[in-house]
Amino acid sequence: MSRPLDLPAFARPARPARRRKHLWPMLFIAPFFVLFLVFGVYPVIFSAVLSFQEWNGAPGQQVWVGWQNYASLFQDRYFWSSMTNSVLIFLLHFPVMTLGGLVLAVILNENRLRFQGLWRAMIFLPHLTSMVAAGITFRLLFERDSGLVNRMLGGVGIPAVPWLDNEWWARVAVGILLVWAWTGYQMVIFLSALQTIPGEVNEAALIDGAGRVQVFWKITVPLMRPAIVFVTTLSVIGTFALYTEPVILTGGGPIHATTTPTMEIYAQAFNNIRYGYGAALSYVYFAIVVAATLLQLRLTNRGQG
Amino acid sequence: MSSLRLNTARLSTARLATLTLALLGAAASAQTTPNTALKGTISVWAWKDPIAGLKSLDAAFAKAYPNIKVEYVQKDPGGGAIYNAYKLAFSAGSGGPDVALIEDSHLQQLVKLGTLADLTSQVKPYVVNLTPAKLNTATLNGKYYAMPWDIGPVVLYYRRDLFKQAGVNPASLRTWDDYLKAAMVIKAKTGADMLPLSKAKNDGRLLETLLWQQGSGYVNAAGAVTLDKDPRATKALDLIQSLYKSGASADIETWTDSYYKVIADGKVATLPMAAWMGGFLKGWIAPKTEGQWGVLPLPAFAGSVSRTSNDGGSQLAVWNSSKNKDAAWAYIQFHIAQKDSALALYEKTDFFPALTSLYKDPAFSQGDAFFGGQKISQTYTALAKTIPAATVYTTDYTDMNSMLSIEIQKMALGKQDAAAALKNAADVIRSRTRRN
Repeated sequence: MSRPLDLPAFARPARPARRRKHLWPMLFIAPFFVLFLVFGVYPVIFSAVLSFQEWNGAPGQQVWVGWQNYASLFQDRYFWSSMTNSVLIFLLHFPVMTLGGLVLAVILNENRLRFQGLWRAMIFLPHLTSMVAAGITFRLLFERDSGLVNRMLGGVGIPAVPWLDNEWWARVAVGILLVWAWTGYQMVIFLSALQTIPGEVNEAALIDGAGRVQVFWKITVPLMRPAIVFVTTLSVIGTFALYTEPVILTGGGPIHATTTPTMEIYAQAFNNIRYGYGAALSYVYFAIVVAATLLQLRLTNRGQG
Repeated sequence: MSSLRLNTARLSTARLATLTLALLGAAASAQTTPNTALKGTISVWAWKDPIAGLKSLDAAFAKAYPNIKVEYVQKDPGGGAIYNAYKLAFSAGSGGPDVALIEDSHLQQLVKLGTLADLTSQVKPYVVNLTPAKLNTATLNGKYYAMPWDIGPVVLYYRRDLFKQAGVNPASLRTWDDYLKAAMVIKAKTGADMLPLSKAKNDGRLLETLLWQQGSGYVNAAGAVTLDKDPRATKALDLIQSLYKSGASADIETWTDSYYKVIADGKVATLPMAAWMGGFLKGWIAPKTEGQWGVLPLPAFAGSVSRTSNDGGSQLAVWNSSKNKDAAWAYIQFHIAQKDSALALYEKTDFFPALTSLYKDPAFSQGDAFFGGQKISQTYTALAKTIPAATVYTTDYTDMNSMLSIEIQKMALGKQDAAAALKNAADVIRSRTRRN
């Protein structure tokens, strides 16, 4: 980089004019950057500092505690179990959701299908629904004694499932809500990816004697790898950041089984007014999610090579 | 979570009108001469039902203090919203209320933070008429920071029809052993469960009630966690375990539709709950069951005489950074520390008042048709005076309650015994709240 003094002499008079020229565009993009600085950058820096402090919210009463928050969070079994919960919820719902989204996308990509637009809209619709409303509805559906799901199971002779009264079933219930809400979104991503695959590739494979299922696994899936990597990354981040769904559906229970890291961070920071500790948890949580994402990208890229 | 949270106003319009008229007349003869020079606008933060009650006294208040303007801000205690708003206003250093309604369970935290004004001299004249248990939650270093509004003396609500059908004499339920025996008889004869008691969704409230009944809590007077050291905690959780094992408890989460349904349909025979539950039953949980309910003192633990406990309750406080502290106190004093308005509030809201001096009023010796004509307020008042002092509500109440609930849930689902539940709860509470 050159210092201003090194600028050619003729460049100097031009500067005020250029500044004026850029004034309006700058003003127009300013709102985003101002908001981003205030609500994005500032909190990130503030919590970084906060994570080395103990603070109960009293103005100006922050106490510097060094690495103490980070040291004690390694002993915090409920923080780590909330991490495990997220991993389990991810494993329970992601394969179903992604495969479902993929299969639906392939079916709905078929031009012979009638009412294509209607089906796409219907499957995408849950994604636009308020998660609070959906959570309350699912809680009623999964109710043990009078919920519709158990009544329907009872109708075909299957005993009542303790959906929200058992750690594993509760995680499954959260997973089902996620599948319901996100499959449509995945389908849309996959649909757009599918449309980039030239039809001739499939035709060629079919002519060469491949079956539909073979075409799906051997042609479609590998060609959609970038889209799959994209939704996987989003899902990993999304599952760790899960908040509304478990809060409404299960309240984080039973036995803490559906409490996610964000719920745990919220409880520590705002219920227990340990803002510094909450900030430290946030940073560790953030580091883990970043690490998981990088690892995942590394693995998928290697597979491609 | 407490009395106030789920309450709805319920009182015949005619009765209310009479009361309001009486009150308007009485305002002039109030015990404290209002300082009409006080002026300003005060902001009162509370939730729906208390606001409805407080608002019913608007006209009377305006007459007594013509220069004080009152604004109500409604915030929900569900999910801690109102408490987060309090904490945020405190951290921001502005935008707080003048008068704050706070549940006892959250009061200590706000007192300790320094959010509330010192009301020692204002509250002192009423101290003789308040129980130590109630005062403790608003006290820090010998100073008072709030004026008690309502308390939750715990009684045993029971179904007269089910007891009769099973041939159990309600008066025979003197101890929790009697209660367990009656539970088996009632279950066998009527099919009804003795009480709703959730396993996987246990909210810890019954255990807290049973601890408090024995004068025990999460911590002792010195602030050290006692759950795993106090034999009273063992007795309390053993009783809950026995209730689970009796097969006569209904595994139903509190405050859900199923919960309201089993109560309204007569599928549970008793509810060991605070006085505010009587208002809920009458008002909106089971209004069609008039005459079927009765009230008993809580059964006692063997070797103990305590027949009640406390659950919930709330207080009004003056915000520390309020610019109208005198007007704010005048508001509090007018509404809950004066006989006429306090009685009118009780009629309107069913929040059982903490001030024992009110209990002499004839309103407290009337029979209640919903409870088969029983004079339930007399039972409440007698018990309210005997609530043991115990430390359930600490600065870390919310966290302690959720940690304890998790361990009770594990026990209920057969993953550990009562001793392990108490040990684990005590350990995790110690490490999370940095206590001994």
